[in-house]
Amino acid sequence: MTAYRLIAFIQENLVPDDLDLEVDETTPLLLSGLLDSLRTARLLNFIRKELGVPVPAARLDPENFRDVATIVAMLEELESARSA
Amino acid sequence: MKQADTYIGGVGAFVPRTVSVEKAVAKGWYPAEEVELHNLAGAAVAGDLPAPEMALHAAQSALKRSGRAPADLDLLLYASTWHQGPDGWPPHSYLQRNLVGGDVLATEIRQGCNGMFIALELAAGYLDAAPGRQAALLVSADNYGTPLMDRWRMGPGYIGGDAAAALVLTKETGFARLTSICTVTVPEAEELHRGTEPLFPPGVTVGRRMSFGTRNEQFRQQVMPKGESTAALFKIQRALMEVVERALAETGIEARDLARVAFMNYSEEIVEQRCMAALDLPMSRSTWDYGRTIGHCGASDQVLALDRLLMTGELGPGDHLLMLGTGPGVTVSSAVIQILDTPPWA
Repeated sequence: MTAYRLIAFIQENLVPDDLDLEVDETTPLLLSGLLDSLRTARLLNFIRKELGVPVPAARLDPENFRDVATIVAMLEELESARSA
Repeated sequence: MKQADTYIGGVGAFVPRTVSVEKAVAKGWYPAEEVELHNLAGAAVAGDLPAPEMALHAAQSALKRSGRAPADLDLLLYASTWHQGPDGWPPHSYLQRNLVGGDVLATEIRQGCNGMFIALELAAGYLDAAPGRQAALLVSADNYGTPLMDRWRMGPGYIGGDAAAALVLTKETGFARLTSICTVTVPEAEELHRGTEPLFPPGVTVGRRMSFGTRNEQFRQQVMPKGESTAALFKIQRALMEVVERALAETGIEARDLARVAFMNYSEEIVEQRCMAALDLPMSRSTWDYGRTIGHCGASDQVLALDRLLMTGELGPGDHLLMLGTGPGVTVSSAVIQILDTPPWA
């Protein structure tokens, strides 16, 4: 469910209109240039507000934002650390 | 860096008349399609008033408000982002001659739009470095109304404004305390403001127009695809969050404790998404309402916001102000100021 919502958000809000790109769980977000500073901020704001998981600066490793699958893995880790 | 016993004795501002975005669109200076996109209202325009002259006005005001004499000063730092006068001539010498005299160590800080943050950190360290040092005068000024510069198309999401701001930093108590100042650099993003321009000869010496918009686009289209800078823009936003977390921790407060946040005078979306929403704070706690009317005034935005908040009574004793900015390099800076008293001039 988280992956689906992330994919939908990225497709709708972060992919430029002139870019023919179908986002899925393994689309390389950094290599495709999607995550510039403004779009990174928009994605993090979506994750905090809509998915309810604040991501601290220490977890903003490019490896964690390689694609939707790595973001979901990081969010699950942050969630379980919060509920522990 | 956490600051102990570093205070602000006075601030000063010089903001010339503003030209509205509406007029700029009618004149064909500003693209109509950007109006709704960025929601900016105008830019301060100094005409042919030189930047060092504006700097002198702001510095005189800050010094007078601080209640100090030029002889009390130990340091003068002058932050600039664009040409100030004849090349090879130091603009701070104009302030030395006309205000502070020759016994004050003075230099120019050319660190782009976060030059004032760099000046704050250097001045705080300089005042701490030897007993008896009392005060530093920090000033920034720019006039972008020159050939080779187009203020209305300066960069993505901002318009260039002309202004000067000044601040007196002291070791003795003042109306506000500087509690923390932090800067980090994202070196992978160095080419963001260079684009594909050659380093030599420098663009201005061959009459090349200056456009961060063009260079940013060159970076995205030609530099990023080569690989090593792929995560550079992502890391800028990470750095921004890092310096905020550090400055708040060093002050011992949380984001929700901030009375106001002064970011750069950028578009509504940039200020909201990159700064306010990232802090989980409403836009009403930003200084964007004012910033959108004067444009992005080089290194002066945050101190102009501080001056404005004080003069309109929007900051009072106990309030914390977070100042946040970025500059070419790419450097990212933050500072927290705690208001101790309402100054008599506010």
